Amino acid sequence: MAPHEIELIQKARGGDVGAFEALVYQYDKQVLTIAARYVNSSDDAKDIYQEVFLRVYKGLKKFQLRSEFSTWIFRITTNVCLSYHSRRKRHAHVSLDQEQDENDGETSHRDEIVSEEHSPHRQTENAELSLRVEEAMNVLSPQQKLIFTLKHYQGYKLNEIASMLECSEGTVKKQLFTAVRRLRNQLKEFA
Amino acid sequence: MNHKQIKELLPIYLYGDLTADEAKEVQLHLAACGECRAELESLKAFNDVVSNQPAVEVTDKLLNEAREELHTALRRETIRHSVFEKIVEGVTGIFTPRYQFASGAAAALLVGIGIGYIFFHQTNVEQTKEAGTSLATETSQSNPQSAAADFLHGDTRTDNLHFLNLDPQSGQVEFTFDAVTPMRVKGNVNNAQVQKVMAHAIVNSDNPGVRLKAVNALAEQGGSVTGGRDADPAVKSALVIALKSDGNPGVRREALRALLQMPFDKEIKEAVLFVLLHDKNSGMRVAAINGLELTSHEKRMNDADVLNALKKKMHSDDNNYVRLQARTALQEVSQ
Ligand SMILES: [Zn+2]
Repeated sequence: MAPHEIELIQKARGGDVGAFEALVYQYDKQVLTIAARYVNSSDDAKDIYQEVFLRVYKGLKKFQLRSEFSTWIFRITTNVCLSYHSRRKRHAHVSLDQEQDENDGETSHRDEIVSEEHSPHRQTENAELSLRVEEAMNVLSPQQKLIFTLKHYQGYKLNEIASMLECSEGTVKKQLFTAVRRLRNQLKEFA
Repeated sequence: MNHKQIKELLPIYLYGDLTADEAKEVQLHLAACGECRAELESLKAFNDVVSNQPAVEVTDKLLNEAREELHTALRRETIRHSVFEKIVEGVTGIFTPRYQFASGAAAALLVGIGIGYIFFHQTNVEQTKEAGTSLATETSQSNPQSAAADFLHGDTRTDNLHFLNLDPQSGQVEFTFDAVTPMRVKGNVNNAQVQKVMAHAIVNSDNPGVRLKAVNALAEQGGSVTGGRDADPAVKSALVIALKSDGNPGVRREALRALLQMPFDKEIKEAVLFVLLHDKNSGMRVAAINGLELTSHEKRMNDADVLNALKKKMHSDDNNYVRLQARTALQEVSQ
């Protein structure tokens, strides 16, 4: 780690908010981008952003200076993304069908489709398509969805994703295959 | 690799994540296998469909909003932390025999306070070790005590128990835990220790009624809280936190009232401007305008931040009445 980074970390540990900000502003756009792609909402992305950096701030005391700071930040980011999903799920009325939809069954989200029926976006075909893609994404497990968005939309390498999620590259590949297979299944009428 | 394995690899191939050798093998197979070529085309079509998905754009504006919100949260976090440390000092003070409360209680408040390990470590409470007790505790290496055992009675709740050591041979155990003891604190609201306990309640109580009472007690005392001197920074910080972030407008209103009675400084000015610019409650915004108008008059000051905030509100507040008040205040202040 760069010496100036270590110095900033030490200042931030002492409660210097300015030093902390200087430290994390090198990575925070990337964090916000990951979150925004994952939740596809600017408000939710900002929530995740804040949660990530509060955790970083509180965790600084325990952070080992010999490990890579950016890796640590992105690990926290993926953790917050994955748990954020479940936090929202608890509030949303998700049908049991959806929770159990581990196979590629056709049990898609009747409730959601009904609730979107009055949405003006359904006017155009493009909007209809993007709604369907959004729904299809929500059929994926949080981890599959995160891996897919990191790979497909943001072009992270498989080993980078593995490091962020603290799992093997093999697991990332397997989850990515499953994500692609399930998405294609959901969207077969369009492609 | 056989046909099935190659077919599985096609998504990774499209993402460019195969090694050079693997990619070459896939290309060779594709040249010879119609089914895999068709699969590749189908995958490309799928990729196009998914890629067209509109995304939330991370603009500089969005990034700056996120940074500002984080900044507020971090400030809150550091203030909360320092207030808590002061409270621990203050409360441990209450239990030392030297300390006497002022009589003629003006405020009595019942609060639960978590102090934990540090508390037992720092206090010198008289020990009465019960004979036959099997729980031997050590709260400090240099100074063995059984203080913790004595606190495990009555209303004390324990939480966050962590074992540090467990030796089955000797039967020695060592652990830490948080003890939460409801305490009755009775004292004059002018008393610095009492104020600290109330400051703690303002920031940490889940009960809006408790928060309101605590802020109210500080506000009621008015100028006498500070006695003309500077207000206790911990108390002031707690009131600022309440003003800026308490979910209950009644608590915010009382916090504003209490702060406006303290010597008007930069911290208080910023907090009041924050309310004027960000509080969703129009009544709070009007109260902030009135407060600024009054203090500006008394101090005969012409502060640029105040003027700018008032101008901004005069033009763009959603609420008619707030705009009007801002205009009037601006005329008064800039005279
Ligand atoms: Zn083939």
